[in-house]
Amino acid sequence: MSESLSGYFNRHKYIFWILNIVFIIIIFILFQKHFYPEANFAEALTADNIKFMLFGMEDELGGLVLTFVLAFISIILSFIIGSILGIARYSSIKIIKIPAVVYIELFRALPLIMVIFWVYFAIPIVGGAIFDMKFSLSALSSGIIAFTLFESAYIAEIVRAGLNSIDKGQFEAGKTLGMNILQIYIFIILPQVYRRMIPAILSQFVSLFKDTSLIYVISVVDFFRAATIINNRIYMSFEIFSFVAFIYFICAFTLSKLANKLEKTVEKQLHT
Amino acid sequence: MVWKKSRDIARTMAIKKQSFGFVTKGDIMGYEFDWSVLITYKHLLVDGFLMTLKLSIIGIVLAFIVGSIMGLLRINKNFFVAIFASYYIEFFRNIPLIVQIFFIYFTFDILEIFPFLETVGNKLNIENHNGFFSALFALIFYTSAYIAEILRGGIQSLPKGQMEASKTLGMTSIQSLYYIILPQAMKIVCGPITSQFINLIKNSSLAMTIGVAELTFQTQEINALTFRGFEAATAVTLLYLFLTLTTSLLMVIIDRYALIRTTSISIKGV
Repeated sequence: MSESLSGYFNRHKYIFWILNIVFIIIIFILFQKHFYPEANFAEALTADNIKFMLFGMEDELGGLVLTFVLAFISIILSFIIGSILGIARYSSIKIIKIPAVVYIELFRALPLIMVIFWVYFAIPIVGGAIFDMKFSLSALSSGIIAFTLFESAYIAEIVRAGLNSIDKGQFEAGKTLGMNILQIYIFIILPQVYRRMIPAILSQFVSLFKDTSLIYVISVVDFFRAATIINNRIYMSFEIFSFVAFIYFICAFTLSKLANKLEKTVEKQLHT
Repeated sequence: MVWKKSRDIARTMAIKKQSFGFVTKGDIMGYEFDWSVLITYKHLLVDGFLMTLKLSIIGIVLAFIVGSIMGLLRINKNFFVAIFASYYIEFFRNIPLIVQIFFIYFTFDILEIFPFLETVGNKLNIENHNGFFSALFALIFYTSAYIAEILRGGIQSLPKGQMEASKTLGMTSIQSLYYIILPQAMKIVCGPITSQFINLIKNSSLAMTIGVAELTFQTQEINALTFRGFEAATAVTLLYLFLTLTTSLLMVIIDRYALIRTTSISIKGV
């Protein structure tokens, strides 16, 4: 019976998703009735509170929008730096390779929170010493730098895996055509690598999107920080955090489903 | 002109580099390094290290167990069992860990729900019971969801003939899982699971946000007490490196020796 059911749901995906949503709502209501019967969503999630969580204060960037902006800027910057690092990691010249290896291994071994603290506290001092002047960073930009440093190590590994999957003959073919090494990378190798990388980059974006909530520790008012601010004011943690979890879940789940779908398409393209 | 300026910068940097190092006291980059704080406050660092170890070890063991169960349920033939496991996986995978920690910590009184945790916590020498167990539960949920997904991928990447062959030999499905499928799947998933373990160790630093006194928390503590964030952060960074490198080394050893042996045993057993 269950097999025919899964077959039926495979054919009618939208019915499956509607049933899922209904089922999840039922589970949530049961959960709330059992563990937290005094929950009062109407009082916690007023229009003002939701507006503050999604868009932040009136005149500045904040809330969920800021979370997306942060994740987007950081992923683009770390895409550039990660590509350079990945190529350096792939290279056979030791002077280029070893620093890249050290960088990647170091940042993959450190917790993101430590990276944020390092950037937030150390960069003003180090930067001030190098340029011999007062050097200050806003919390937001140090957050972006920390995410970029952290994420580029992961993207470098993805790029390296992509480079490894490419046939060595392509380099030789490029050389035969009289291209220099830069031209070979830009015109031949990287386009192929990036096409294979797109799904992995997207899933990395999802994890970065979740990780941006850590900017909480240096007091940037992103989505999560906004929620904790409201929670500190009215102390209705169940309502607020279930709302936060719900929004994060929807965004991350949709993006990761998209990544899965892209992965399948890319695989199909590569095999035909 | 530009050249001269850059040369000056290089020279000042070189001078600064010379004085950088394990000088106990000295003016470097306008910041006086004083490594003796680490010795004065070493009890804080040791406490933090032990707390991180407790969180990581318990977390890794339980997350692996829960994750394996969920991964096996996810590939179960029964549609409802599989969908239950996929709910679990998708739910905990797609919510940031810090949100889970805050949700559990601020909403539930864990000691009230699970009274036996008080004795467990006392045995483990923990002061902040609620914080510790909230962080631990969140870590287990989050990591086990990833492990389940990895295990599912590993098992599904095996050719289907393996299962059919073991069925033909008259094994029950638990036997074929235990002797045929899992030893091979473990070999495949060992690498990704190691990186999840390392992620768990790294993520345990998030417990500081709810006041669990682990390594990152102690950095802040030393910084607040002495204003020596740099030295403390360096020490803690090295400790984290030590932890993660040890974990990956251990997993390499397990991968190289233990996993091969289980495969050979299972072949003999058949």
